[in-house]
Amino acid sequence: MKATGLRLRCLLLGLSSTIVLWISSASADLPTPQVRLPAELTYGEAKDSPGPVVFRHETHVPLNDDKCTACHPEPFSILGVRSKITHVEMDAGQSCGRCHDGTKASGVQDDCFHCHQAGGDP
Amino acid sequence: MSIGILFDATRCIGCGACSAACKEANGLPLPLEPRTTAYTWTVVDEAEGVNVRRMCFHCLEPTCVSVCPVAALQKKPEGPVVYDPQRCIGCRYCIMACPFEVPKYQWDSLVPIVGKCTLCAERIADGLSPACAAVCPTGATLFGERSALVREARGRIAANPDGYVDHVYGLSEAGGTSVLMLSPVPFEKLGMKMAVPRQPLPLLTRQILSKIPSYVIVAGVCLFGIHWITKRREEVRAYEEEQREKEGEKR
Repeated sequence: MKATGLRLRCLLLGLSSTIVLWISSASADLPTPQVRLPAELTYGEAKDSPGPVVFRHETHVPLNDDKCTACHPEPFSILGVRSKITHVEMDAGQSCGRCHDGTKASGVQDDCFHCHQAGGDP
Repeated sequence: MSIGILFDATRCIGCGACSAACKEANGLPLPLEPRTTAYTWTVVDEAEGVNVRRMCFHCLEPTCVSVCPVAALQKKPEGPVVYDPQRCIGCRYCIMACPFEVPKYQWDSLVPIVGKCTLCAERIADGLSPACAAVCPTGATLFGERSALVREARGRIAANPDGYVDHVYGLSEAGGTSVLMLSPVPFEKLGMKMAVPRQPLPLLTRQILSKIPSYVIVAGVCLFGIHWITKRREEVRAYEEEQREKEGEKR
């Protein structure tokens, strides 16, 4: 009995989601714009760094209301000019430290491995 | 080759990457203002739920260029309308003349100059695309040859007649512009100027100015003729008087 109920529920869920998808695709005149975010950026290790930092736009853009202007052109260049990012800057509230201050986002001194991990999710 | 930009409002998500890139590429100071100023050359506005860019249209025959008394504004053969602050005398005639109200003045500066989008003419000369087109994550701002962009715009309307207004803004406005726009809603709802004449505006002054040399010649000949007749009349009168006096003496 229990299994049948679960199967029924799954079926209903599947059906309703299909209908919702179908309606939303039918009502849209144009396909939603395909957003092509820049490739991930790897910041190399300094001498005593616990590991490289990989930056992904995918994890940062939605947090900023999908506005590129939250981080560009200040503090980060949008035209691809790479600059060295140091903890001295970040601790002074510059660079990543503008948001990673422990309130808006995790602090830059909180957990090294939040950012410093090859292939990690900063 | 004439280049341009095609802005498709249906693809714009309003992320502001174009504005940020414009600031960086042109070394313009922050903050990013909500409307175009002498320091913010492009912004993304929202109207009717549609994101629309504000920028210079780079007219094929720009009025600002035709009115500038010192040729500080010039239309490059490739398409961009560029500005040379070294030549500018600050008369602001370009600001009055632009049918799209694009050039803006540095009202807060002691030595003010005009500010407007240059279509990143320097980047184009280096073989790059304008900064706004280079960073657009959805391809809403497309850079390319104008004729190809016109074809692309017409193709998009033809492929989706319900999704677009059947009009390519910039195709004939002010005689045609290097920047073209597509919209899903009527352009007037986006705050675009629809009363812009369809013929190039410099034509209005050219019609008069081209006739001035012939007016000068005709008027010159007429005035010389009047002068010659008057002078001759004076000479004749003086001669006749002389003759009369001589006759009087004889008697």
